[in-house]
Amino acid sequence: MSQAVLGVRERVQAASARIKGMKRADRLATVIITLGGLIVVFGVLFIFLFILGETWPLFRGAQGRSLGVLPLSLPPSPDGGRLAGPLVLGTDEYQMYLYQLLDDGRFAFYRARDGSLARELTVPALAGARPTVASRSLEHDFIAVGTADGRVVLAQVRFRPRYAEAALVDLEIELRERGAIELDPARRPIRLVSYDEHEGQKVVAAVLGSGDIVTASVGDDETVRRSTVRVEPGESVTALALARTEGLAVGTDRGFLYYWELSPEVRLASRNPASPAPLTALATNLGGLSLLVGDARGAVSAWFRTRLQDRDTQLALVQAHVFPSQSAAVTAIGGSVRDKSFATAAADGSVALRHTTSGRTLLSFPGAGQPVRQVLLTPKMDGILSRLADGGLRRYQISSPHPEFSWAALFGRVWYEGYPSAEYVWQSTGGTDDFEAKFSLVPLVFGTLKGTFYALLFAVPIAVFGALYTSVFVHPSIKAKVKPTVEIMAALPSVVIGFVAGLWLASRIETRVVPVLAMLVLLPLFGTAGMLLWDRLPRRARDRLKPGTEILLIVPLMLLGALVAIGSGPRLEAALFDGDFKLWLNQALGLVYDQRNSLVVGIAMGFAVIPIIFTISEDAFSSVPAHLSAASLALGASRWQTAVRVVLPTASPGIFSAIMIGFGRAVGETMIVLMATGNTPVLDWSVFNGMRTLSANIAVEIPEAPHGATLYRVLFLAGGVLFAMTFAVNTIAELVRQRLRERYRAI
Amino acid sequence: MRSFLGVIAATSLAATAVQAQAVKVDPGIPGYQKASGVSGSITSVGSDTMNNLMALWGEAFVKLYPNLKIQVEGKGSTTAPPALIAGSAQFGPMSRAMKATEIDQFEQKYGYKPLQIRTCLDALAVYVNKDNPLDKLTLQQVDAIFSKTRKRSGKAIATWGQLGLTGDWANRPLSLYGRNSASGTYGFFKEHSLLNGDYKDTVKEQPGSASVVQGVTEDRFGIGYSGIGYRTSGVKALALAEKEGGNFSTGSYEDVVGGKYPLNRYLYIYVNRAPGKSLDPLVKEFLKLVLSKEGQDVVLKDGYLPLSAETVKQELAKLE
Repeated sequence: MSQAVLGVRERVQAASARIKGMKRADRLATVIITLGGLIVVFGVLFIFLFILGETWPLFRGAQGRSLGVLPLSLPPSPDGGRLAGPLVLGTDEYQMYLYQLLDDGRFAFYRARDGSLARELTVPALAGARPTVASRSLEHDFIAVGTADGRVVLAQVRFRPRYAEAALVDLEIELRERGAIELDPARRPIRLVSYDEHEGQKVVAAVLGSGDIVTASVGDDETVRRSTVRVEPGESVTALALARTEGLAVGTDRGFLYYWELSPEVRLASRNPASPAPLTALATNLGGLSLLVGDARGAVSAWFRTRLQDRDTQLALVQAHVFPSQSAAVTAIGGSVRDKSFATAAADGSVALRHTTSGRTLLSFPGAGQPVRQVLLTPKMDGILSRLADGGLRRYQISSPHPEFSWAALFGRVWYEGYPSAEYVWQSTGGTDDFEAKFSLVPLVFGTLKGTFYALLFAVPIAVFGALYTSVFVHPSIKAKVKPTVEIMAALPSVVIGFVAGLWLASRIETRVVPVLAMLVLLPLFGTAGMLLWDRLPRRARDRLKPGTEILLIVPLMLLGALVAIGSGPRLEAALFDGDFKLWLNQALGLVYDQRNSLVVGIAMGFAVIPIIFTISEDAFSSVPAHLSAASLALGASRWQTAVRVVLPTASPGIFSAIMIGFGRAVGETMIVLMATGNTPVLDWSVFNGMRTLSANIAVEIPEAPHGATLYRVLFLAGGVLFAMTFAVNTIAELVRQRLRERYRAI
Repeated sequence: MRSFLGVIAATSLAATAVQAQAVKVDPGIPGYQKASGVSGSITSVGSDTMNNLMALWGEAFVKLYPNLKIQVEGKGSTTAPPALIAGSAQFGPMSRAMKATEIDQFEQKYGYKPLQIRTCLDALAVYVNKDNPLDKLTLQQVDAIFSKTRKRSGKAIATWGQLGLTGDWANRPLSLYGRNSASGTYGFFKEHSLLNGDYKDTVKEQPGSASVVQGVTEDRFGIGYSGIGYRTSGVKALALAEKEGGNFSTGSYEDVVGGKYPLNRYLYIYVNRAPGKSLDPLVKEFLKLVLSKEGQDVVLKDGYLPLSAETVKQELAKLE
């Protein structure tokens, strides 16, 4: 008895110990699972924060501050005369020296750190001449000096770094004479001048006292080609700028903008009314493609030449960007040699930093009343120098690492240099610095959706109906073989699928487009025919076979369908498409058949997402309670009626999430699209051309993107967009799934 | 059978002989002198075009100095400057010159500019399928084919008929192939053929020079640009001329060196060399090998074109 009592007590103790152990394990599991969940949440959060951190500098915009005024003393004139003011302003790329051309023909070099005079240099050809005006080219510091006796003297300032112990210590200054040209035989003074060199050709343009505009180009062999042009009577030239060595832009006091082509011969190409006020400043940006125009009211705009219609051979000068106005007349414009930024300065001393492509004003500094004579963006884009009328030099320190970025540039239409109109374009890299980067994400988002759409179009019917058939109609023993087989498909690395699709499938499909399209129609037709045929079989014969054996009839019929499609392809092509589908496509519909196209991607990427959609759908079908279908069958519904009316609706939440997970997989898929499409950023739904997806674009471009540059950060932003897309789709999918599940819970 | 093989052997020998006669390394280039005390490891990151070349030079170098280790990575010219800046590579092979912004970034870290060495010449070819009857193009036509901004102001070309082909070809649209934007080839072609215009969106960007050629081989109506060293029997390189009526050239050595072929360029290696200091002996010896007769033989073997003795002399002077 006592033994029994003891036994019970011991058993209770043992049991409670076991329960305790189980509870401990339970708690441990709870902790581990919670921890795992938290790690996932933090992981996702970390990725999100990382992307945000990499893209954040894009949104910070430009920073800048005034460093105050540096007084630049004018060196005493040797003949004791009064100097009226410097004519040009320049600096070296390290901002160690500043230089000015004084109006007695001397070049004065100052130390930038304290404004003290370092050197004075002269050009022999300027000896005895009185300079009236001068210009400095945007790149390479080509200086033209116009004189009071109708000559233009050309020179170049060069700085050469000197190192000691691997550190930059000083610059050697060199002033090279580049020749002198007699522009006016009548020796009238030069009013305005502009000069540039390109590939061994020197081009000079100048306005003489009479109002004549003289251009001179000097070739390799030192032959000078001169020509004289004029603006309309009643107008007078107020601004002049060469667009590299190819064109000459002139602004007048009546607000007209003239453009002369300089090669092969001088020809007036256009005369546009640019402003109701006189044009007061004119310059080109880096690359010489855009003309930057400022007028007496303070308005600033950018113009370039383009074909307005694709078939045009003539270029028209168009106003592409209008910037917010300056508070007074624009007196000077200075371009950047790094990108498409430029600085404008006005008669009230205000200075603004702007960017041509984005049309944005990045920074603006108010003036102190003194008019600005010259403005200069330093070569490394780290400062602005503005020389005031009283001789002082105001310096600004700036940092503008991502001037080309704006939301409008990413998602809006932008009018790029040389384009007929504003467009969505992705073309991020060029061979040279003067390339205008084009960062529209629209073609990439479009390409992602396009690829996903075609992949799902191919995959969803096959996967979902396949799953329905396998789970409802097929004998469990067959199902046990089918499901793992399909799941093995998922084990194929996508790079292999992409490789096969790009190099093998694409060229095979190209030569058999019509059979492939015919198959899309014929395969379902023959399949249906097979089912009807099966239905006609005597009932006794059918009952003796396992459910699912009908496949033995249907599959050969579908293969027959494929053979018919292949066999009849050429005849179909001859009958419907004049014997050549691709030609017909081009002529009748205006579509181009590309070898690497959405059809190939749809099939390849569809192949990659079928297993995942199939497996999840099949699980959803299988988890429909057996009593439901049993009841339906018992009440006399056929298997088909049961499948469509009972199983499908009950499983719909699971199917929906299967499709959404497939969608997420296709959106993020990289290697297949990378290899099977040409990565062409086209905005076109046609199934016969390719696409460039966000993910493939990141994979293609991230190795080349200079670390920390705009492209690098925009690619991270593209990753963020991709993340946001899948996040949104998954969230919506989950919400819909919950709602559907709620609805069918009652069953 | 034997005689048949003999004929093949003779023809191929003759072909090699002709090729050898056509392009030879300038006899004025001195041979490589082996130095002592060279050891360590070499890492090179940069151009995909020069990948093979770097590997071949590396091989020749290791043959001379067996206890060296060499690692060559080629994903595109744009990958060279970051690797040089980070110090993760001693050599940055590039199929284009560095851009000012890239030099800026280098200078920001080191205070001086990287040293540029010209290693050999390359010519870009415009390829069409071997069945294509077209033989030549002007650069204006090339621009009109590949560019949407058409800086050379030609009429847009979309079908082969617009290039004068007849019959079956006349109404066929062109299928465009090109390199991906990380490559120097992409930038060079853009600058020199398109005058810095923009590529059409329909140019299929291929990840390597060989896959452009592969694409054109597989696509009867394809046309693409790639290095001349990648020519195969499946494609045809077109003769090019600057303008209509100019001299069409297929990119032979004489034409490239004489500046008659419009699309030629130097291939560079960039190294980090502090001014006033001598180069690391390992780096210096490697570059000396590249600029020797042996190194230039390798260039020839890989389908590129060797430098003239004069250029070699200038480049060698930079190493001192």
